[in-house]
Amino acid sequence: MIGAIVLTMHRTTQVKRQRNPKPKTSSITITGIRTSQEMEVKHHPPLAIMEEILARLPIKSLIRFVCMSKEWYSYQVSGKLDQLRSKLAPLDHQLVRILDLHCSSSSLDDWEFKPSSSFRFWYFEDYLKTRTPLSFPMETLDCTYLKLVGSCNGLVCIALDSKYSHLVLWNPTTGVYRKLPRPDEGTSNYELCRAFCFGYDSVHDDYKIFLTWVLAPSSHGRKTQVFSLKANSWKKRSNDQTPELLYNTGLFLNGALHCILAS
Amino acid sequence: MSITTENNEKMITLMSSDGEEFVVEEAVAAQSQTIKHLIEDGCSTEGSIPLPNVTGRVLSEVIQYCKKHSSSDDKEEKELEAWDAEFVKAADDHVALTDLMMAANFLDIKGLLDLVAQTLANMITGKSPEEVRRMWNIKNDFTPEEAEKVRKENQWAFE
Repeated sequence: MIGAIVLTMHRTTQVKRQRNPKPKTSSITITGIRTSQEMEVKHHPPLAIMEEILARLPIKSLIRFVCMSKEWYSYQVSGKLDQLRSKLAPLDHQLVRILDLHCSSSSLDDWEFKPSSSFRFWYFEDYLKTRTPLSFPMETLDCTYLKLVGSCNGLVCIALDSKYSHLVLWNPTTGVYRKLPRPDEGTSNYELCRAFCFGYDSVHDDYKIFLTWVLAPSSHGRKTQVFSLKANSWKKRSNDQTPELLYNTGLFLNGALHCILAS
Repeated sequence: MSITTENNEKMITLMSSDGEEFVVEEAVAAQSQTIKHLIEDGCSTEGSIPLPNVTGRVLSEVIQYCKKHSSSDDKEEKELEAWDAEFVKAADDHVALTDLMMAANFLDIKGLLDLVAQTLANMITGKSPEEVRRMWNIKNDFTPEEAEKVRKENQWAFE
């Protein structure tokens, strides 16, 4: 999620190299080949190969292995593994959700609520057959309000106030979270956020947050801002660039933001 | 070397890192995307295809898998699953499976990679980091203080 790790041995690059007419000159080195005398793996395989195993682990094991080595740690923090996991189990991975609230269903209000000790994030796997509780750093962040903006590739975006001025990105598989810069000032005159979404922009290899406010009390003025994780900043968009959206209708699915337009 | 059998099946020769040669049907070998591309590039006409990263022992297992999976298109899925389960069971330990996984990765055989990686993942699920480090000889390069910090961040996963 933060920073990036360059992995030099990815399967696609291997294939490319092997397409070279002289495969003997391939620079791929594979370690850990066993001879009949050796029963132990002398060097562990490169992380680019180990990721194939890691991506198939249940979430709890994966998190326990964060402390395996510095290399594994920084790899998991990078978010690359989450992308691979999403590819392997797209349905499972979208399902980081809030459940088990000791309150009536009406106060759930589209995953918006006041956190309490009964609050939990769950990670669902194996097509909802198993679930694992995740520990969100609620006390450290001094949460009094919480709303799920969205989740994608194993990253979760959470708003800590109803004005969406305190946003946090959280990677449950590593426990790492990051506070995001506040959207531009001047949103205080605006009504509650009208549409919001967190998603992955594959064209620019970037994570983005999309927010639209409507001017109170009439709904004629509106304001849209897009956050880029790469740039770590917000950008304003002019009104005519963005059609008016129905309340709370942003959803990131299959690589695209889906919204319902107001007629 | 490119020869043709009686029933017109094109054969190609693969050579392992330790010089062992395997003659297989092209359709079997082409399950490996890496080999398929080499064949397309005309490498199979110049003699045997060298596979510098795969030993003869591992290659014979890989070929066994490819043979089964190229001949069983119409067969029952269940039968193939049972065969796969026996296949990884025969590989015996994590060292042999790791070799197999690296070969599957290098040769780009998706089904085999899925199968072996999932088997290894099941094997280490529930193990402690220390046990996994021993399996693959992974060096713990965290200082005790750093390790404690990372552990604390994720304490619940250790409970």
